[in-house]
Amino acid sequence: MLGKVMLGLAGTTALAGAYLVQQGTVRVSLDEHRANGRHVHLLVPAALVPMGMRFVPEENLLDAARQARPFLLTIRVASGELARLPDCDLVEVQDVNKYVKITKRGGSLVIDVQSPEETVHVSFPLRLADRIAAQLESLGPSA
Amino acid sequence: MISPLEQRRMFALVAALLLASTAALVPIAAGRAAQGTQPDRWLHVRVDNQEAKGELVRINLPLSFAEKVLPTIKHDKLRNGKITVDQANGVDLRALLEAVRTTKDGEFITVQGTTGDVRVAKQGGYLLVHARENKDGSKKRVEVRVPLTVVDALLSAGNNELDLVAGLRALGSQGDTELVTVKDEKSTVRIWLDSRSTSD
Repeated sequence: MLGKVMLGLAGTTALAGAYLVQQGTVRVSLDEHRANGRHVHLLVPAALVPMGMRFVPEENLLDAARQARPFLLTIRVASGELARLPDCDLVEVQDVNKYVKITKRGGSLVIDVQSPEETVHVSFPLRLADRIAAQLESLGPSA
Repeated sequence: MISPLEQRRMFALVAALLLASTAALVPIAAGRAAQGTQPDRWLHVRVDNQEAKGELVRINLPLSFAEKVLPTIKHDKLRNGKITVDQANGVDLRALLEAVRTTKDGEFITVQGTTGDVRVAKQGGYLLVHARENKDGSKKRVEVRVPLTVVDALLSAGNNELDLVAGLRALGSQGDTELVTVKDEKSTVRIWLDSRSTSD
């Protein structure tokens, strides 16, 4: 009996793990190059983000949806189109002080910014961008 | 002691779990396989500066991406992939392009001066602009090559509008094409079209 329970637990964990791996991760990393600068490093399974949005106060979500509304369709179409592309470097800009690179890697959009003030890295699965845009869109035109 | 029936049940459970895990991972493999399919045409912009710590720009954009995304952008004079063109500095851009389109092949403008020369011509299905500056030691050179099918497509919208999406579509049907080259002693700017996703 205990064996079956353990097997069930192991199976569920394996399935959950496979699902999380499939959905990808959101990575945000910020390092400020000054004394007492902030160092923020986040690694969140993308599958948890839409779930997490359910805990955001409704008025905040409505406000976000209202502000993002003009761009939601563009985000959805762009993320869908980018997802179809092979891995590639989309934008790379360097000047005396700053370096910005936007690439598409394995289903995710990766943004790197380096400047004397800070180093920023953001990567997220393109499918997540589409899901969040869809979720905000569903909040209705009155949002 | 586990009975044969229980053994079979456990085997079935393990098999089901393995199948479910495989099913969950299949989209990853499918996604990776899909990545191998390259879109046809890529627009590249490359700016190189020879100075130490000089400016560097690389933009690689599939035309299909721009074609799909442009119509979704509604900003200022851009609507549904079309841009409204007013007379800018007294120049009617649409009328100018229309005039170029309907004129026979030939040179429109040739200016040769001590500080440089400019040549604008229509030739072999292209609108060609060539400018060369030779002033104060500067040796700036500009070459622009616009396929006339793209001009046609741009003009396919109504009055006072240019159809950018149609222009992109027409551009996509071109072979590998060098569109813009700007060169001077310090920097090089190139805009071109090919089937590769990299600008190296």
